[in-house]
Amino acid sequence: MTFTDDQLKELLPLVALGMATTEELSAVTAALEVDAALREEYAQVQRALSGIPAAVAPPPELKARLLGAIRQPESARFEPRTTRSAPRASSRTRGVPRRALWASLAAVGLMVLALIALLPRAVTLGSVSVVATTGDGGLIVGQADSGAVLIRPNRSRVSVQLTAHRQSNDFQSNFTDATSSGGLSYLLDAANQRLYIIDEASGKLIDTWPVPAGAASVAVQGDTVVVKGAISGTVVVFTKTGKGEKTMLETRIAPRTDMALLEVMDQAVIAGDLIFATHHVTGEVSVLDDITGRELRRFKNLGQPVALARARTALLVLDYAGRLLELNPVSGAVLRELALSGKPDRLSVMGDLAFLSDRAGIVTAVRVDTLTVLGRVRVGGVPMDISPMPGDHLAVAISKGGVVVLDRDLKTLETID
Amino acid sequence: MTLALPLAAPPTMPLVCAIRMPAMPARVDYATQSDAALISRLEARDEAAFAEIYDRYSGLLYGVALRVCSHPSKAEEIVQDTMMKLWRNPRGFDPTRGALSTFLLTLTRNASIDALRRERPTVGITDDDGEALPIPSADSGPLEQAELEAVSVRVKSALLGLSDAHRRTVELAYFRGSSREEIAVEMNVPVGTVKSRLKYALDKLRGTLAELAGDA
Repeated sequence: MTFTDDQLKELLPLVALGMATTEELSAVTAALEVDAALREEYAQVQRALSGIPAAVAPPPELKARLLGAIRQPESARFEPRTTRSAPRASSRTRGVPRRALWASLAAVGLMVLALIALLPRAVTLGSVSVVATTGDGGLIVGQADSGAVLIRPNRSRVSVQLTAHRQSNDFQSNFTDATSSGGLSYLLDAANQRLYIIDEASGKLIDTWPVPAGAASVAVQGDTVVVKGAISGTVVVFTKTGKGEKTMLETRIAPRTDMALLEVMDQAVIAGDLIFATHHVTGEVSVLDDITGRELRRFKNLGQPVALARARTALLVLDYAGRLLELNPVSGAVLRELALSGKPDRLSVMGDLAFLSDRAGIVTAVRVDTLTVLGRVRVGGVPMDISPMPGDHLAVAISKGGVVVLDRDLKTLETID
Repeated sequence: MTLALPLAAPPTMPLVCAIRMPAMPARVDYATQSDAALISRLEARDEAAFAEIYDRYSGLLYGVALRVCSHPSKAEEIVQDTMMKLWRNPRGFDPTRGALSTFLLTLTRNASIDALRRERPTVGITDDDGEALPIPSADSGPLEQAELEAVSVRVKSALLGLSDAHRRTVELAYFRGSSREEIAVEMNVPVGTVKSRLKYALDKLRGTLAELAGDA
């Protein structure tokens, strides 16, 4: 249905009060994008509504309770921030006599030379499953057979030891997702039901958290870490509360469904104060509160949604059956859809472009504003994961093929193997 | 916190040292800071800025939560959740999309209506479109506390000037989160009447704000 300008104006109070239908909301949303006068009118409606409630003084203890809750010393919130204090180490040398200092440096130099002779010549990549861009512009790579590797912007590599958490000699990981936030890398291992947290500065594993069965996706924003379990049918919201401690809230959004690890697919993203999580078995996307983990609403009939991302004001959802859907993030209404060939299972948005990868070997670029395919490229091998990189580049993790770096035109710039 | 700071270097200190001294932190009068400035300070984990925002808007937030839930401890919990959301993710508030008061009120109202719906299962829970609409607003700047108070006085006055039917329609929509259909059933009128009453009422409220702008 097409709405006239007058009809759109009539709908503004309904939209502001949350009473509009999906169709009305979509129409108003689209009109507000392009009509400055309507936006001004909408702002006036919101302003009028803000005057309706009467102020009531809350109990005085509420303020004290809130201020108490936020008074967690930032430096004590998480361990690695206190371990990266290089300047302190150098300041300790101020009192050391100069001769002793030179002797120490010579000894350290000899030890370094000895260590270099013992080290393998280079850390090579094995069976790469996931990749994420780290805070310094490098990469973290998860490998099914040999743990994780940090790749620095200068392409030097640091092997991350996860062995302390291996349960037996034939340990194999099944990394399903990776992300980076606040100087930490998060690697999700569905085979061992673990989330590994790695300090990107030192390359040290600093913590492991238990995660639900079939953990498929991890998302981090501030002190909130969200994990989606594809087998468990749950979303877990971890909240770091300081001193390395955390709280955990698990919300069921679907029944438990046993599936092979290869079928473990799903994604959760945090957008503002909401969590959006796919559940491909039921064809639904759940919207949850980022603090309480409570499910607020559910978008249905989306095929087999396995990935999603916020793009401009919309929500992009990737249907494994071969569709890219653009949803209204409030109502869940499908605004547009793009038919895709193959079965893409990864989605990543970089500015005005969305990138999709298909385990058949294809990476596709889609213009977000028009929802049209801009280009496709066969990268060779099996693309397992994609991650935006600085400079409008895209990292593609290739199983047994390292990491391929593409530019926004899908031209190969570099292969890291 | 008030600090007594020297305005100049001690007279015995060589001039070059005085020049190299780090700048003294300026005393901040939080009460005069704009909402946008306070939000910037939240990003630097400024507790005093958080306390100032609480002082500005907690009454309004508690008022709406209490009115919707009719339960003081539940209303406290909702206000606490709302404020903690702001503290944990101040960037969740986008000043280009509207005023901080509108943002906090929307969060509080939605959480309150959610709580009400959980307690009253007869109210539909499937249509939950009350979240902040992700639409860029042409709002030129944040609605500051004084302006908000002026708006509130005008709007309440305008509400009192409405007929009982119009006022009740607005209140059911705002404080109960009722749908058009639910209001129509409750007030025994056609759905179209609910829509037209809401538009009439909101036009009246907006009219008072236009007068306010004219007075300014």
